[in-house]
Amino acid sequence: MVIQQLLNGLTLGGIYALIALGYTMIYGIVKLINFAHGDVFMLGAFVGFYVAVHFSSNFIVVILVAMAFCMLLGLLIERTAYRPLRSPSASNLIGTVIMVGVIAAAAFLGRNGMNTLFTSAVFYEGLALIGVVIFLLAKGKIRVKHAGASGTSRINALITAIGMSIVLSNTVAIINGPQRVTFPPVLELGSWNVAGMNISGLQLFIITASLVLMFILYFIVHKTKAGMAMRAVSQNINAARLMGINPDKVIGFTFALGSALAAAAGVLVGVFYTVADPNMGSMYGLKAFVAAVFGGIGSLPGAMVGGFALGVAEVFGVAFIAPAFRDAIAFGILILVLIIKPTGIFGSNVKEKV
Amino acid sequence: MDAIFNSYTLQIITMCCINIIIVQGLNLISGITGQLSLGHAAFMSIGAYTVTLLMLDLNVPFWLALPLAGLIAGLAGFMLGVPILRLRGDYLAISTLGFGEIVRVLFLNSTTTHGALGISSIPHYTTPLISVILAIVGFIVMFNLTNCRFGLALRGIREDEIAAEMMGVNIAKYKMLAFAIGTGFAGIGGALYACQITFISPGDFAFTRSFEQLSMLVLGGTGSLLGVAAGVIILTVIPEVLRFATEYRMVMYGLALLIIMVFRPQGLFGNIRVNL
Repeated sequence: MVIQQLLNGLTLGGIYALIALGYTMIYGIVKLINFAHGDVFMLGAFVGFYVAVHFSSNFIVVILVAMAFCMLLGLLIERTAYRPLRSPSASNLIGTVIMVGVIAAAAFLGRNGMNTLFTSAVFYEGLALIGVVIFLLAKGKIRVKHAGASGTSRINALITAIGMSIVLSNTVAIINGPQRVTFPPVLELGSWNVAGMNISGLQLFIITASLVLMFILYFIVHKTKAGMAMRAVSQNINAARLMGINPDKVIGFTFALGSALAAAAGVLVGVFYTVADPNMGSMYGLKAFVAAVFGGIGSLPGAMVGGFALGVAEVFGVAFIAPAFRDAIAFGILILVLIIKPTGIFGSNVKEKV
Repeated sequence: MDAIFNSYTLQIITMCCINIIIVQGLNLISGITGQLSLGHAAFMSIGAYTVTLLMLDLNVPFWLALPLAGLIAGLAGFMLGVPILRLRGDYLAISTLGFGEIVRVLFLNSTTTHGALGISSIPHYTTPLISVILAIVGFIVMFNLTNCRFGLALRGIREDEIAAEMMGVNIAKYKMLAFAIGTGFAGIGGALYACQITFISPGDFAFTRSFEQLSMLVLGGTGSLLGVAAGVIILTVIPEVLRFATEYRMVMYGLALLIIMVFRPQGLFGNIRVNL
């Protein structure tokens, strides 16, 4: 029974860890709690679902397409929502305006179909409005002032992330409808009965797959040049810039990596629990963030350990203590950990300088 | 006159006033003292449930239950503040968020609160007049609080904790007081909310509502009392205006939030930034 639950916990933990890695990487570099990350995870599950239903039921294809899609999405989110907050130049702001227009059109199109889009007045009005705004931005008629020397404050980025999260989950809810979808069986690995325990091949696969992905990430961050640039930017963005690193590129790369891992987690959740719904991003995302804080935010091994620990703790709590308090367990642990060791398990203790 | 003040617009005005009271409280905590809180809705729910249970189960009159709701929410804030206000920045934010979720799950599993079913047929005591008067009173209280020595100490903590401590500000005490008063405001707002909507359930007070309140604060401009009013009114009215576009409402809301943050980072009326 205990070992069975441990296995369940590790499965859930592997998924939390994969999402948590994205949170912790992004936090480590731009000091932003990217609340939209949970929704990228949800979108990964949905892309996987659509690929599995309409194109290919090969698991490898499903997960790779989902990862590639979310990689691009992560890059786009960073480029159009967060970069303008760091440097509000005209070109960055135009990117935001275009993104807003595209999302509005996508939401409209997903519901009403392609034909109505070109016949509706709203579409042309919106197009005209966006055109005017872009023209004004390009001419320098609209300017955005920096709030301070170090760019805008982090709380703005936080609200932007919340806005992005609302946009993503509701766009999916419009295109797909708010109901949950059932995943087709793309990966069947059977299960074995060992000493009275039911060990499912899928669980073992998920744990292995998450460990492999984490290892790949660890390799990228610690053994490649791009990873070195990432570590440099997270230590000191200005010094990194002086060393010839382009921080914008590195930040984009980080978002792409984190989003790909989140998409993989999304597909794994879809395959294992067989359902995906447009609102699942926020709870998984929050818990994964808890895992990242638990392990010490900004630390990769911390996110892995935190993810697995949180998954096991949650499953054990549900199985042996109080099933109804599922969502409270993770947050209760979080508050306890923070009170005892405020920097998390692997967090470095930063001395405050006066 | 009647065309403008029909029951629909009066309801929106009432909601605006209730939200102003709540976000004023958040402003004291996050805007003035600089302690980012993502669990403000939890204190709102404590106020809402307190007033409801007092009135329905113990037959306490509304005018006694209302201040009690504020008091109990403030007390809860104070008690939560003791352990977690030692934390800084994002760690504080995420633990307040966690606390909010814990409170929600507790209400969800308690039999006194009827769990997920919620409590319906709460007496409708919140008239537009009461909410407007209380919002104005709250405004005056907050204005005076933030413009005396107390407010100065809080601003000092926001700008630089160490420097404030050097100047003799008892940081723990002031943070705790700000937290208690701010959450007390949320409690009163929550009580008014319960008596306005006449139905409450734990799902009404999820973290999304805390996010919404923080969005109102940042949109208006953190630390500015005028900004609070503006942010609340805009984010309460936008979903109502967009009601014709039922499905697109939330997408547009999110996009509006994003655009305002990108194009006006300091908030509509703000010139002060929060240091996380």
